[in-house]
Amino acid sequence: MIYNEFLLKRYEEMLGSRFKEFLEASRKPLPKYIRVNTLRIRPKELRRRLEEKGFELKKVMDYCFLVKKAPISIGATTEYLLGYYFLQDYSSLFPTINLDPKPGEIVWDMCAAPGGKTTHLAQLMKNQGVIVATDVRKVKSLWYNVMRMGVTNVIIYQRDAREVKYKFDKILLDAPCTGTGILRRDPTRVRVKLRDIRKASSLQKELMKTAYENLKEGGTLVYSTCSLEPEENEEVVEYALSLGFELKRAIGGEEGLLKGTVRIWPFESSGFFIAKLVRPCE
Amino acid sequence: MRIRGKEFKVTKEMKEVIRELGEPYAAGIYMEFPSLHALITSQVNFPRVFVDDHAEQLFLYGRDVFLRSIIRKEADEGIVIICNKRGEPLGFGKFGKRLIKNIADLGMYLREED
Repeated sequence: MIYNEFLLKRYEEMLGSRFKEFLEASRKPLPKYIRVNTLRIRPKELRRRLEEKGFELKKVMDYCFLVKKAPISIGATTEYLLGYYFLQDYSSLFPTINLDPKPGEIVWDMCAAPGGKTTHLAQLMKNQGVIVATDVRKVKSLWYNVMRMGVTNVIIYQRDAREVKYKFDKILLDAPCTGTGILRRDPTRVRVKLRDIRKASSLQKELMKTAYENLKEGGTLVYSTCSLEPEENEEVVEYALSLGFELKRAIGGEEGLLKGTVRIWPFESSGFFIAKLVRPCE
Repeated sequence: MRIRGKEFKVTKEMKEVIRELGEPYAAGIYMEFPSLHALITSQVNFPRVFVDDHAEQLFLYGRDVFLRSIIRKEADEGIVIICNKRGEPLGFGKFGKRLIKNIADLGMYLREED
């Protein structure tokens, strides 16, 4: 079992009768998904090309496919190297979809590496406007992914997001977290304890404050984590509300413990939490 | 625009943001030859050489192109863009006597990250 006893007890309380289903899902490998880079190719065309090579795909949304069968590694095709798709969990598309960035806007991806959501933002913005992508680590991976995907509207800073001062139209805060929603993908995080959760929550609140200070009035912030822990999710959103944010209804899964937020349990994809917040005009 | 001593192509809007936030790690389109970013965003202009499927795979693993793998070519010498039979750019090469030397290919993104 990938979850320790401490975590299992928490999930049993939160899930109730669905806990058994959760345990069953946790024993299976997490399905793989690809996001089609519509800046470079149409989904239908990519599907045809990969199916010719023996891949079996199932459409789960306009530009996302579940990989049902892969004769070779899905990360080793010519199409991958050409930047036609990104390996990305279905659930992790929803933070960007909720932010709904438009061409011409100035958007900040606060914790951007390795770039799945940054390149998704660029895709929705049609490479127009500006994305500022910051991270303290893995910026080389981030930059490689930006280049491979043919993204042209990103500025990358290797910088702690808390040091940034600017006024953005929209902000994506996909915060560093304990990652308990992706344990099936990254079992190195199995030893998560309460003190880890508390530490992550504290950093997340600091980043939330930074986001508030750097967001234009009327601007939108999407907060997300791949953690299942309320201290890293609903508790951080409650802190955001105390700063002056207003909560808007997010989409992408079942309602979280706080009305309007979204919680995706790791049944068919990674676990995720999403909240959509607006800084009101004074 | 020069960033950390390298050439990048940035928009006016990006320049304004950079003026406020300071010198970034990277921005816009990386333009230093042989930039694959510039290649796939159609910023470079070299003659093209089209190669067969087998040569495509080898080239993406960093290998050179044997002249017998060429399907069609727009030049016989100098620097060229290596394309697959569909015309998709895979990287840069330079004509030699018996082969086209690999200068840069899209597989570098995977090899360098590893």
